[in-house]
Amino acid sequence: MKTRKGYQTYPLTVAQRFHFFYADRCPKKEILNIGTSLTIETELDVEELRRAIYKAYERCESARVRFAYDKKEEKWYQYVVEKEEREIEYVDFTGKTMEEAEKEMTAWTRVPFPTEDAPMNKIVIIKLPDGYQGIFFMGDHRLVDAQSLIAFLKDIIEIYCNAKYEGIAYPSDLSSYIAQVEKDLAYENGSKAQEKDRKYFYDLIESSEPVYNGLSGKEKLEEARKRENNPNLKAAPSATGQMESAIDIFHLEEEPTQRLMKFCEEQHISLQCLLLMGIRTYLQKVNDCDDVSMNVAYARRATLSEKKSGGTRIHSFPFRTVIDRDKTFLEGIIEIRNKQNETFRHVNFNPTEYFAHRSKLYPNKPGNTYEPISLTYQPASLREKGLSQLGDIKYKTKWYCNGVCAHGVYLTVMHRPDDNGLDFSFEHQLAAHTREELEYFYYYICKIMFKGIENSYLKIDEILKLV
Amino acid sequence: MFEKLADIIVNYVEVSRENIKPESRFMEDLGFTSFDFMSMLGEVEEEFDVELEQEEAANIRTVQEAVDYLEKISQ
Repeated sequence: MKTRKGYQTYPLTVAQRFHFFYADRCPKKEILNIGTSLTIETELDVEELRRAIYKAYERCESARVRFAYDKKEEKWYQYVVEKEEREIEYVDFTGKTMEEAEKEMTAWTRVPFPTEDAPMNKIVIIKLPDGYQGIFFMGDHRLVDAQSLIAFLKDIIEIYCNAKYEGIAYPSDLSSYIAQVEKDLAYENGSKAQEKDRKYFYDLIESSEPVYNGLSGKEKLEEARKRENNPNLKAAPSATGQMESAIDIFHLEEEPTQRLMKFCEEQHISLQCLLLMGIRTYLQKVNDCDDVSMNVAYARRATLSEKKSGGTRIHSFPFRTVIDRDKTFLEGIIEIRNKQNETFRHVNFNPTEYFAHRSKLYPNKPGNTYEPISLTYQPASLREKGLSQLGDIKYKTKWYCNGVCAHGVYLTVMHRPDDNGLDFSFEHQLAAHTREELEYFYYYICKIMFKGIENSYLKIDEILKLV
Repeated sequence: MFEKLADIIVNYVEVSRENIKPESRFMEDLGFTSFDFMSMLGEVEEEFDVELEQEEAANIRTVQEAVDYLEKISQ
């Protein structure tokens, strides 16, 4: 397919096709939806906001993308329409309860987008029962990830503020989504860089088979071993066939968050490394095993062009560490930092090929895996630039659950824009984990992190005794 | 070396060219994340035709330290 409706078409990138990996196995296509709202404690000029939204559409190519399927080639394509002309609805929840408003927005998040030739996001201007006003945004994950969503919302705010208030600069230009897609497709088309990254990951996979460590200990692995009559089995199911899900969020307050951030700054490590250390140490403890794996999502937005091109760029790979308990907490973190730094340089590689190669080498029953949890750390926040221009005005954000999840549990850690504390957001299959189980897990990883940063020269074994 | 490095830096973070000083710290002053920094090292390797020792490179904090390191390994 070369063109569609007069527009040039482009194949989907690996990051986009990766979503088919789980969406194809899920009858409920809303699994691809990401819904969020951003509201402000102030009276907004709805017409000006509407103009700002249309302007943001004009500036952002990826917000104007449509999909098209070529039946002959059995392949999906995408194209960018020139203008977004659809109506931006205004919904006033005044008179309803907060629960009713949230229930309705959750319901919006559970409606899948049409598959072809249709907008792949929805924006509604909202007024909440508590008087807060703002935007509800929902997008298809093949065209939006958390970072591009935040960037798009920031753009709307900055355009709005520039129009409404004196002395607020118009936001700088965004970069081309299509240029970025073309760059990614060139990499995927047998480049030298791809070959280098393939070698890196293949060597890692071939080094040895990982082992599954459950959130609640060895139970799942032992069950799988019994079920398959294989005492040496190393993989177990982390998800179930039932995809109904919920999001449970636990809040870490501003002051303790600042303690974690200060430690990271002093040790020249990212918060992601500390989170990985906290999680892997917990899994090491409850499974009595030093060899720990989990999935880690990489945003792949380093250059300004990547940061400002919109779309979806996330690639997820297993991250495996074998850290001896005789090492100090700090040595463990440094080891994680070095491994993460190494991984960063290869994450353009196709994650689907990674998993296919691993399955070939270590054949397992479908659904069996080595990673009990997936982690995303989201450093971008609406606080910087965008909303800070509004001064002391209070604002809040909320993520809505699309109701389905392919993973057993997916943890997203992000900074709250209102107080800069951390939100630990667990999206999980209801059949795989309970809220209580996740609360316990959250409590212990925090305890490990705080004990660790206060006693970073203690051995991991000693930290484990302290918690 | 400093000039060439500054040209690369502005592709990664929103900082004007004249605000990049030898003493600027990549993370704290220029706003690099560790992912930005490691990705930039890939470009630096290509641009300067050098191979960086990853653990040593990860300890670089300021632009001047990066220049010194690049000069050392380019010799």
